[in-house]
This record gives sequence, structure tokens and C-alpha cells, in this order.
Amino acid sequence: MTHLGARVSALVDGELSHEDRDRALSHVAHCTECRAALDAERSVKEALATLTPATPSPALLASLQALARPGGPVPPRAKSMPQGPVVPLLPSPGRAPRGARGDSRRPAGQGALRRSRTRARYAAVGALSVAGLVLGTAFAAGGSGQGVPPVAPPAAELTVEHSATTAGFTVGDPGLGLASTFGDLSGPAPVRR
Amino acid sequence: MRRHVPVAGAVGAVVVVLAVVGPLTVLALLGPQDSQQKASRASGRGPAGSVPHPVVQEEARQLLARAAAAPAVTPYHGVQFVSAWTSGGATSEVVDVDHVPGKGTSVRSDGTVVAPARHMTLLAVGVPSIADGGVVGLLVAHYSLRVVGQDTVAGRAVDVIAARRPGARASAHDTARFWLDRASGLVLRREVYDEGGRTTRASAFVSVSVGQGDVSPDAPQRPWSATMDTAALARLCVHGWHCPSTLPGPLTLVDARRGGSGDEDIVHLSYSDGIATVSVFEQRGRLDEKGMDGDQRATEGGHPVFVHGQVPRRVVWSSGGVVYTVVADAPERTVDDVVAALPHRGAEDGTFGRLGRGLDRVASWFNPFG
Repeated sequence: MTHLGARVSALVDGELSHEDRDRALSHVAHCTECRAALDAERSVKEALATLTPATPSPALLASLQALARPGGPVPPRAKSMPQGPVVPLLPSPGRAPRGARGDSRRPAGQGALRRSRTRARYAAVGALSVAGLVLGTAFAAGGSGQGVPPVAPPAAELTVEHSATTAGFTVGDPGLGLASTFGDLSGPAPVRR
Repeated sequence: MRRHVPVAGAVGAVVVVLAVVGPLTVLALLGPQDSQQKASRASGRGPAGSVPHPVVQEEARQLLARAAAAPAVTPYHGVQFVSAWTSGGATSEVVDVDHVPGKGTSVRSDGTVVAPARHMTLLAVGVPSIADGGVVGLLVAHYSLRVVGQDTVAGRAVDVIAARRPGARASAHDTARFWLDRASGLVLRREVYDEGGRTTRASAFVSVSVGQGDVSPDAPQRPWSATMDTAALARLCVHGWHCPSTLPGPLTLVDARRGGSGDEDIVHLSYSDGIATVSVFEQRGRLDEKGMDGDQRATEGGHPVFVHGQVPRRVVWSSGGVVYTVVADAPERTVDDVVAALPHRGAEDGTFGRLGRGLDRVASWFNPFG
């Protein structure tokens, strides 16, 4: 059977038929790659299910509204010309400041300064939002360690279970595994010499 | 001058983004590679496809198949010694063994100055729920096998079979040897060696009577009855249990079953290569350290664990809301590698522990190595 590919999502969503699901699960049991993909898919869906709807922060809203306020025109984006004379893209040494070019509503340089500050605030808010989203997702994905019940493994029972099960997996007398089990069942370890 | 403030703000924003995204990228890129390197080192494998195939002598395969089937049809009684050598010292015990097909195997030891008399009857598992080919299939998959001679054990003629890692140099040592009774096929002696050829396990009959055995009528210890096949195990994996198909050694997943009930549900995964055996038990919860009084705190592969005994060796720890118990009769290095290959997510409580686990999971979503 080939890798699951896009069927990983269908498997997690329970959209596969009974027969297809069993085939997919049998493949997953032997395919590390698909098992990891399946685990990742489940984790993402679980994380998304636990997230609350995102609400923009007041700072972000203010920044967006500031962008809509009247201001200086956006400088034209330089494009390559398919034909005609080549226009130099870099300003000449004697070029005038950008604020002085045809901006009659503000003093020279004031619009550019405001735009730069707006971009900086927007970048800062965006960065903080990304950081918050990542840390929030990590916190949700980390699950809660509280409330997990404390357990003490039943040591003697597990050791007997190990011997009873694995004695059949090695070529040898079934009693060979049992003798070493004694150390856990009752009293101290076998004689040291 | 007027452009300095906004530029500084933009640079600060970029730094914040890098501070968050950078570690995640590093985790995503380095974590899987580190795990792969660890697994590769542990298994002794080189790059993919470089694992040599075992060379199996047909006569050796037939003799071992006969030996594996013998306990199902042959009763016996005998006295045998069981010895083990580890870095923690040597242990040795002499036991009476009775075996009756279908009733189980009874083992008794007389009391000594340091150990009381003990007795246990056990009915071992028949057919593994996962691995195909049974015991001989496991051996053939992991070792080169050949007949190396004849000998006598407890006065009975035996054939000697040697198992060696495939691709080993001519001067390398065998991993194990089996002394098989010519008349019944039973294993009368078995020895396991480390890489330097030193004996780490030895068990042999001092005397044996084939054809008669006396198992006490008491109910024998049995493995948990709820077995899982491949499909059932796959469903278990989907629900968040950790169930790798192989472990360092390399060891193959042979059998899966469940024990306990309700909140104390325990998953038991058995791994073997036909000689070494490792059980991995998984239990939902966090480790109650107050209940580990008889165990020693230790560090294995940089991870804090509780350790008990040498043969079998038991290692316990908890990670991500699951308590792991490894019970192993395997070389110490293999046990260390197995423990290192299983999950260790550190502290389970507190905001930073939760964030750490979450960042691990988020990084795994972007893991390009699957």
C-alpha cells in the first residue's frame, strides 16, 4: 500500500469507509512516516478545536484606522520598462527630499515620517500578535499536567507479565525467564557471588 | 535623525519575530535529526539500506524450529542453573523445573541464607499477536545462524547452534549459542554473550528427565488475555499511545495486549530479536514517586528515571501524562538505548512545562522529516 497522503485528513475526520479505514490503519501500523503525519494532523485539529475566536487588539485596530486617514500619496513603485529609454531607479545625488515632491497638504518630510512610524507600529503589533498566537497555541497544545492522576506501576505484576509473555518469544526453556523473576516476587535478589 | 525612531521600532519588531520563530525553526530542524541519529547509533545501522541480510544455514533453521515446538508436546523435569553477569555484579540460582504441555512450567528454588524458598507456576503465551513467523522467524530476521558442532549436556547428545549479528567480521563473537537435545529437540543449555565475547547469561540443565513432569494443580500465572492485532494496535496509536514498531537493538514489536481496567488501563508492548526481550508498559497518569521506595533514582541518557534490578532490569519514568515502565532482559546498552528512544518530556506541571510540551508539539507539526 502506498503512503496515505491526503487520506490522512479523511482518516482523522472519520470520512473513510470501514474497509478503507482498516487498510489505512494497517498501513499506519508499519509506516513511521504516515504515523507521524497522522499524529501531526490530529494535534493540529485538536489545537484548532481548543482555540477561541481571534479578536483584534485595540492597538491593531488603531493602527489600521490610522492607515485609512488622509495622508501623502504612496510613492510609485518602480517597474521595468519593456521598451523605451532606461530610467535610473536610484536617486541622483542632487535629488530633492521625497516630502517635497508634489505634496501640498503637509510640510516636506512630515508625511514620510508619519508613514514610517505607522509601519513600525504595525510591524510591532504584528510581531506581538504572532508571538501571542504561537505561545497561545503552544500553551493549548501542551495540555494540562494538573489533574493527571498519580499512579504507581504494579511492579511485581508487570515483571510476571513480562516473563509470561516473552518466554514464548525466545528459543529456550520457559522456566529460564521465571527464575530471574523471583527477585521481584518475594524477598531479596538471587544469591550474589 | 527623524528616521531613527521608526527604524529602531521596525528592527525591534523583527527581533521579536525572530526570537519566537527562530527557536521553533531550530527545534523543527534539529530535533528530528537528533532523534534519527540517536536511533541510528542505537540500532548500529548505517544509512538506510546498508543493513546486511542474515545468512541462515537450513539445518540450523530446522533444528531451532524443532526446539521452539518441543515444549508444546514434550513434558520434562530437571534441575538447572540460571546465571547472569552485569555491571552491577553476578547472580546465580539453582532451580527445579517441571513442564507439562498445556499446564505450564513450574519453577521452585530452595531457601538460602539470603533468599527464601520460592515457587511459581506460569503458563507462557502461545502465539504472538503481532509478529509473523514466531520465535524462529524473529531469529532468522535478526541473526545469521549455523550449526557449529555437537556436544553433551546432562549426559544427553546435543547439537550446538550459534547466532551472530549479520555482517559481523569473521573475528567477531557470537551473540548466543543454543545446545539442542537430539532426541527431543529441547534446549538444554543457552548462553548469551556481549560484544567482547563475555558471557552475560547462561542457563543449563544439570540433570533432566524427558517425558515426565509434575506441575502443581494451582492456577498458573498467565499473560493478560486481551491481545491486540495490528489493526487494533493502530487504533491505539491514533488515540495518543506511543507504540513504535521497532526499538533500538534492533528489536521488533512482537506482541501487544492490555491489562488493568478502567482508569488503570495498561498497555503492554513486547519487543524481541529472538534472544533479547523488552516489555514496554504504558499507563495514563503521572508517576507517584512515593510508590517507588524500592527503586533507585538514576539518570539514563540524560533523563531522570527509577531503576530496579539487573535481570530483568526495570526502568520507570513518566512523560506527557503517561507512565512508562520498561522491563528488559537484554544487554545493558540496549536497555539504555530503548529508554532513550521512548518519550521524555521533562516536568509535567507548571506553565513553563506546559509551554515546553506545547512548543515540542508545535515544532513537530513543521517537522519536514515526518
